[in-house]
Amino acid sequence: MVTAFASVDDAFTATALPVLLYVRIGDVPVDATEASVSFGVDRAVGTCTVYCAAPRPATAEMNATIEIEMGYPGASARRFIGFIPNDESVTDDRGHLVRIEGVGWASRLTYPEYAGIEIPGPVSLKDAFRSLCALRSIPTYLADDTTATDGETTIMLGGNELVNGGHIWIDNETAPLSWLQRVPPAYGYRAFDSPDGAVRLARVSGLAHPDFTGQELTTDLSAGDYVIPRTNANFRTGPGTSYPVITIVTPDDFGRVLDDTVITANGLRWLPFTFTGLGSGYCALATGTLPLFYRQEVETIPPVYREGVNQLHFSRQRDIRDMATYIEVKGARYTGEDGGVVEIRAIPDEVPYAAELDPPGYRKATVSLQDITTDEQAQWVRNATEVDRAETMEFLSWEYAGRADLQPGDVVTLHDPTWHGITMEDYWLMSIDESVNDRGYIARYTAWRGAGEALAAGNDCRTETVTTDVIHAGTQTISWYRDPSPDSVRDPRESDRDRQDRRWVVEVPFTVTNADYSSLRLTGICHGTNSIGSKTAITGSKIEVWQRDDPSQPEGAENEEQRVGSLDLPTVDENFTKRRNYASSDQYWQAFSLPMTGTLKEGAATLVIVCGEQDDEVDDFELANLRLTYCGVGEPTLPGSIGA
Amino acid sequence: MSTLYTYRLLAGFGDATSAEVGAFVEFAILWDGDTATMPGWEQPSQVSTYHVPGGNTNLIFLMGLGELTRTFTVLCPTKTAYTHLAALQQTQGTLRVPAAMNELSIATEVDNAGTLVADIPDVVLVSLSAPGVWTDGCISTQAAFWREGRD
Repeated sequence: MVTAFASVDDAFTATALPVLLYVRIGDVPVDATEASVSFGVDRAVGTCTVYCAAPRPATAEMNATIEIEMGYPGASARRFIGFIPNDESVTDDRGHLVRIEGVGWASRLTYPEYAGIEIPGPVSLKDAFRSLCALRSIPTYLADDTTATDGETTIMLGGNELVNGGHIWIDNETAPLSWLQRVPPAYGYRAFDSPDGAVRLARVSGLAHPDFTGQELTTDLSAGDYVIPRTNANFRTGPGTSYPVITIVTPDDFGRVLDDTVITANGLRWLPFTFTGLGSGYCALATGTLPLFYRQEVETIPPVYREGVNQLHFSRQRDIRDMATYIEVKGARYTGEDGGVVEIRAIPDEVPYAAELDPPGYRKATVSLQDITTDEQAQWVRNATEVDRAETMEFLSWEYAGRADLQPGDVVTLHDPTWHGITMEDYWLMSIDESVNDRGYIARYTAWRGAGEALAAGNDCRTETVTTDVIHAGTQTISWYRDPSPDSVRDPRESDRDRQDRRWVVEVPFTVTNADYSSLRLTGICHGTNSIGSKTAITGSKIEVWQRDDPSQPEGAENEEQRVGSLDLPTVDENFTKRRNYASSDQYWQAFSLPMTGTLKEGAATLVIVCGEQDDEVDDFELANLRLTYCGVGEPTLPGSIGA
Repeated sequence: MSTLYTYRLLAGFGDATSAEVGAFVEFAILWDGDTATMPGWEQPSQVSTYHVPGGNTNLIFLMGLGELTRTFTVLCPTKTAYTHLAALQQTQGTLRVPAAMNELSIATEVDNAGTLVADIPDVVLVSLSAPGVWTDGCISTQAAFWREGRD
């Protein structure tokens, strides 16, 4: 037996392990009979429980600091630091004991701020996290660079001035931790306590692998090396071109070398590899003299847990109940600058077929988060959710001797090829439950990874043509208009007024094809609206929307057509004397996009284009390319069911 | 049953420095084993072993040494001595044994009426069990002693 291990790795490979447990309360050592700690990326606040002999140690005051170190000689480390929120002294047939509970620093984030919190936006997710930690005087906090699934685009929050002024706003009834447990996970990040005492914000999403710090194109590969193909390469069941191709690995895949022994066959040199999610097989090391793989440099090789070697218990669960391939993200709903309602929504362009979900071959899940205030944020959330949920969920758990340097969110490698079909695959370490007691220093771990792919963005809006006609509203025949003859008539809806007092209108019937929209806009081009003469601005030219209570039924006393919305047309100078060439060119037309107010039902409706009037002069103008754009109703291309 | 030191009250337990009645109880030690050896202090090794399923790996956690324990039959010369000894259960005191049956270096050896005895400090009399009332008025009992460590 060694008196002290040279490193944690040495202790990890040893089988005779002298166990150490140190507990300090208020910086004073305490003789503890047992201690346990619990951390997880989905349990933001780490906890500990310590037992010692009664009476309470003198330093064990409420809110006193408690620190636990576990491990082996030369390989021990802090496994908890926090403070005491509660304890209990117990007398029973086991004796007089004190049970002392501890919570990690993240618990400082668990109560709301009296006046709420505003973080000026736009701000990166990383900086928002750091701000909250600084606000609550967290002693140590660490944050990954927070990027979207492309690994490059920084996740910026806030930034939409129409929602909370573009800032992040945490109201006085919401704890910062609630925000940290709601927002970062949507982007694939988790905030949590770590055994070493740091509150971390770390990416725990998608495929797990250590940080690659560089790469080298080489055929000089060793067992355990991480590799990325330089180009597409055949991944075969054996070392030779006669073996079947399992699949083609691409530069988007990464794998690991399983063995150092190079096999020469068919004039090529072969090594066994495993590629994430693809199993194990063989690849040639080069085509001609050009190596096929980049060896990835990593700072820390993840610890490997192997069947029959260092797993006392191992379990692999698969579950499709939370699997979803069609991810819809809904964000903030707010009033846009033009008064129209906007609801942030993101959908994929095309949903891939998933046999696990057949029928119908896909499953939809909706992520609703009011903190998403821009379309870009919605796409980031959609992609993060896709990589985490679009494949069968895998949950792994195992037990072994505790390892004092592991933190939740670390990458671990699992090698259980015989009974569980896992060959040197990397996973995120999701939780750590460790205890030192009369059974030794035992740790229970859980791991997971997301194996899905981020999908291309789809169009959330659908545009339909209202009419292809050019509408000339007004009363004059104007030769340089595209439609010289006016289309307006006296408004038949104002039958109770004298004819000469009625408005001049043009009616354009249309059909509302989808009433589940989040916003509806009328777009088109126009000229001369709300303007007469050369450049005299007037008001009153607008578009009203009329619809019956029940559009599917004919109009009647109980089902009258009513005005359900009104859109003021923009003021676009008439420039009457310049006689612009509106007929053959769009140059002098102006595009408009007007939010449709009111709530429309599916079915028939009418646009009533009203001419403004001033001093008995009627506004003449033209509208063209009238289209309705429904947002919030877009659908991706869905796969067809094969098994149905 | 062999009887060592029978009726020679070379052993005892309690506060050896006190003259108070019953503070230190003298007794003889009975032994039914061979006369060359006597039960010494036992010290369990606190370990926990595991077998890794599916492999030939075994794991042992070494968690230090346990407490010292020692049990032997004592013979109290009178009921009063036995009563006093029973009252000393769950108390900490000095265990006196013939020097020949002590292996702890922390003990202090003193001459007791021409025979060397060892006074072992900080010993707890954990329990008395299986008392036997002898017809001559003596009382024998199994006495279990505890000590935290060798030092």
